[in-house]
Amino acid sequence: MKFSALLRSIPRHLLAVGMAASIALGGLGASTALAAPSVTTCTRTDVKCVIAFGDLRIDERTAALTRLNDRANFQVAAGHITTSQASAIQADVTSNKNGLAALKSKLDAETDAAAARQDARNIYVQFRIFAVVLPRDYHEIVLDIMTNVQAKMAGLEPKLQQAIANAPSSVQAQLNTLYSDYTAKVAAASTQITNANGLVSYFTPDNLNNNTATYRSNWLTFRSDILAGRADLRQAASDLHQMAQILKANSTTATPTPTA
Amino acid sequence: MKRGNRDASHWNKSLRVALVLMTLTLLVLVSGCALRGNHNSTAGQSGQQATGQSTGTGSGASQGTGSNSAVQQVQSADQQVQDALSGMDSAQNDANSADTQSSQVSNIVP
Repeated sequence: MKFSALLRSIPRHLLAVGMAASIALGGLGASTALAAPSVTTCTRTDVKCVIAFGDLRIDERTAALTRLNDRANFQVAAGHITTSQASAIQADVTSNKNGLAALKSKLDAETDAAAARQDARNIYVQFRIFAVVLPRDYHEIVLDIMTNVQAKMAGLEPKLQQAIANAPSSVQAQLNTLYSDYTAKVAAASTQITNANGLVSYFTPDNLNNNTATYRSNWLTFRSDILAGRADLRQAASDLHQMAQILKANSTTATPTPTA
Repeated sequence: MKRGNRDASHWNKSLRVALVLMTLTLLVLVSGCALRGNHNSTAGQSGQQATGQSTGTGSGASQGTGSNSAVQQVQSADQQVQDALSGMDSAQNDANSADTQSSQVSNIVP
């Protein structure tokens, strides 16, 4: 029997059921891939089970904090942030690790399941490592880099003016247009960085727990400030690159190229 | 007596030769020092020239050492900024991952 004939012989409603099942199974696969790790279930009085669950959550957070520390050190080694800027992140990592270690000691010593559950709850409520600390501190590293790049670009302005003044007159108009955009973008980036830095101190576990709506709104503003500041710095960097290329191409010319 | 006269004349001659040699050595030393001093002052003058050009506003035709130095500094800063931007992107990726992770965390305690 040919395949088309076989297909025709299957009742239509069976085909529809098959297709629906395929779609459902495909969706299930996708949702499984995106879902959070499955949660352990402990019986009401199983202290050991709750302790094991809490220890695992603490280990996950400690490992994530170690990674944050490593990333801060990486940016220091690459010369993108200063040791002083990194020390603020490192101090936060140390403080949270110490707090988690103390909580782990308390949790491990619990003999009552309800008390152990409260300790496990405190891993989330008191520390908010994944919800508050890590997103905030990683964004602080971004802000530190942005601050340094902005300062470097602002400090370069007198040198650019000098180089433009010494450039052949044929390219000065082009250079001045780029320079004008450059200074505007560097100044705009400075405003965005200041605005974002002004919000950092709001992002605490307490504010997430007690002022959730304001926290979320401030977080969105914070992220959009960083996004806008990054775009400004990118544009300024593009202007700078174009100016550097033009200056390089004209730096060995003894006389200006006459314009047509 | 004759022999004494001959000795004296020999010594006189040697003394003159020694004096001439010493004078020549002194001359060579003095002229050497003078030449070196002259060279240093010329280098100093050219250094001043370069500084003068770099601080001056200059016209489009002016392309001295000073302006080249400003161009080199701009190019060096351009490279540093490009490098810092890649660092900024890498840090932003970390921050984005942290954001994604924060939205996936479950707060359920068993």
